[in-house]
Amino acid sequence: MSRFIRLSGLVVFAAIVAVVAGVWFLVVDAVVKSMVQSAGTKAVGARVELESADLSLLPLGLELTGLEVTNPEKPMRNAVAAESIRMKFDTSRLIRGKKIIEDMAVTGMEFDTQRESSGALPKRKKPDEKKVSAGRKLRSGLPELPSVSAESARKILENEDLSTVDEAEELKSNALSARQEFEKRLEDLPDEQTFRQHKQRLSEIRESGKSGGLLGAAGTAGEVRQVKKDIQADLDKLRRAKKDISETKSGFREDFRKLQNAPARDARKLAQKYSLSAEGIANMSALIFGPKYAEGVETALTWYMRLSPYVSGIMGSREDRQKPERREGVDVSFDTGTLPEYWVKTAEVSASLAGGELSGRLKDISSDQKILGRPLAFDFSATGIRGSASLDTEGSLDRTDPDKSEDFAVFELRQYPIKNLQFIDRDDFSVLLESGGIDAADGKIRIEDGLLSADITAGFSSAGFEVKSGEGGNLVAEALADTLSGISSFEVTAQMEGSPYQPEIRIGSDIDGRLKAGLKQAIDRRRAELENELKKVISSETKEALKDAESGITGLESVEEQLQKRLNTGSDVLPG
Amino acid sequence: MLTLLAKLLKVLNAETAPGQISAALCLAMFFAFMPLLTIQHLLLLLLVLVLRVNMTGFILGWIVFSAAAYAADPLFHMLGMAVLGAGPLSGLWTMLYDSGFWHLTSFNNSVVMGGFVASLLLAVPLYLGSNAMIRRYRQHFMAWIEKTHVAQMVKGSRIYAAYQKVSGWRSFA
Repeated sequence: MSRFIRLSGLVVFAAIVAVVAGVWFLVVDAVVKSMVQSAGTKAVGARVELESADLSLLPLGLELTGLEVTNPEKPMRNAVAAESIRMKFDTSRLIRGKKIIEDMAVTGMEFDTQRESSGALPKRKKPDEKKVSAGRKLRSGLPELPSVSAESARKILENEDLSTVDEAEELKSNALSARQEFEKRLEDLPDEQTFRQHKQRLSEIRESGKSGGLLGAAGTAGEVRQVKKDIQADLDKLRRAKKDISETKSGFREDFRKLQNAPARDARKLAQKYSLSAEGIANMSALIFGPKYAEGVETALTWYMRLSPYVSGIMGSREDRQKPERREGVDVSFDTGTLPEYWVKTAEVSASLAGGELSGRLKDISSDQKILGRPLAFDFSATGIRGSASLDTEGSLDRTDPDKSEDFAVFELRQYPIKNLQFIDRDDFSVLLESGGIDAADGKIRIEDGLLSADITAGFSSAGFEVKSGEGGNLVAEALADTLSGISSFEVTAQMEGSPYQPEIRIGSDIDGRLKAGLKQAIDRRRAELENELKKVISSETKEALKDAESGITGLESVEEQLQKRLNTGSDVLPG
Repeated sequence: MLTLLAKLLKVLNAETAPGQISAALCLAMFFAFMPLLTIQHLLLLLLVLVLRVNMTGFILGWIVFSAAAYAADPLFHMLGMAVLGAGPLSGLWTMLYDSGFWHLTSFNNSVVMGGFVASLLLAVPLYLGSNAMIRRYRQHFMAWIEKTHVAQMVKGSRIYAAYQKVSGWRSFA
């Protein structure tokens, strides 16, 4: 026997086991702390820190103290901090690989607290997550808030071509070419010389008639008739030309009358172009409340998408991973039982929330709801938020049917005071709700098979707005300031649907009509002012062009006068 | 402390028959091929210490087989997945999975199972092969190797002298 066995080895084995157990006992807390920090940091994408971890053996339990979870978007702030998290394990099941936590208590929880040092990761090791961008979609669905600073008429005209000038030039050129045509035609028409010749012929005929006796007198009468006919024909030519020139001139006069109205037409067109249209203010509620609302929705959905896989157990086991780490392998599950790998039966949570106390519980946090057959459920209530507000919320994350996921939450917020809530903060325009409060806000949010639908209504009262415009004035700001100063209570409704990553958000309010009417009035006033200003500037800038156009028409009148003169001469020559 | 450790190794390394060295190598292979710290590692350690196997052989074998296991990890993973996924064995695995004790062996881990099966398959060939090689070495090559310059240099070094004091390797000759 001793040929194969050395009993001294038993002693060495016992010593090694004792040393390992001792070391394990000494470092286990540090190991747990490190594991929690590492797993948390990987999940959140920013530093998760723990003051200490204490693993107790009898009964088997764990207490984590001083948990700080950095907000990845704001590394100098903690998204969540907790004084202590205590949990008790079911020992017999733990040996069988089931981490069943009978009770968990989270105390001293706080949100959005200041950090002493940045919690950003050195190389910004964010988890691969699809980004939630509620704001972008909301903003893309809204009309762009126009540039509403009042532009001067002269500045507008620097960049615009006026049709008045073009039309005046066209009229002038047409009148000029018409005049040239008529002048050319005038050359071929009978002139004073022609009529003098007719007169000369008449004189000669009359002279020859005096010496020709009775027969001669008869011949003279015939010749005189012929000359008279010729004169009449020439006069007809002149009359036709005069009629033509008169018609052309009256046509040009008509065009000129229209041209005189062109500056007003230009002014109206430009005023319309450079003014905010009533269509652009169709959804003022979304323009005012939308950005802030979208910001809140983005934050909430980002945290939901980030944490829901962990709390609802859909993160997938190591078995699901395509490429396991070297020397780690994958754990194949042969579970046929009714217990998931981990299950927190009840987690009691107490937290500070904006000066108030929040308490509630999460039930059935498990790694596999299908096996457990129960969804994660939660209910929380808070009082004294900001001194007076209360909040009640409950909901569930249901993945019991692997082919169908259904998460929902309802909440009721009451008497929530608001101070200095910035709705819009732009260089040229800002809207601040200086004071007021939410009387009642109710919301229902559901995410079913990856599709979000939510309905949230909030009633505001005692509202006091401050609307500011940047240097140079802002029409929308002025109009909003006027309108909002008269509003103290209003209701905002929001509906969301579609993908939680990019939901469609519709925002409405019972003050939409009032905002629109107030703005429309201001816009109309501003448009009229701009139109008048433009009219004046355009008139002065197109004065010369109009004068030139008129001079072109006047040129036609001189041709007409010449015609009239020839007609007068012809009429004088024509025998009675 | 070092003297104590040296004495301990000397006692443990007293067994230097080829079979004892080969058995140490086989245990080292099991120890190294299963990567995670499991209850079977504890059992293997107990066997190494209690059975009269060569400790130096075990330590050297552990180092070499650990490197080999790292390289062969994808193969172990595939082998483990194949064994764990084998239909006829599913009843056995399910039964073991439901037991608390067998969970401590991490038998359901693909690399642990792959490494274990590979060790089982290679254990007998390794034992017989290394036995034969050690005998051949002792008969045909050792005298010649000991005469080489390199061997002379090594034997003259202080490290070798210290090792001679504690190791059963010298009986190798």
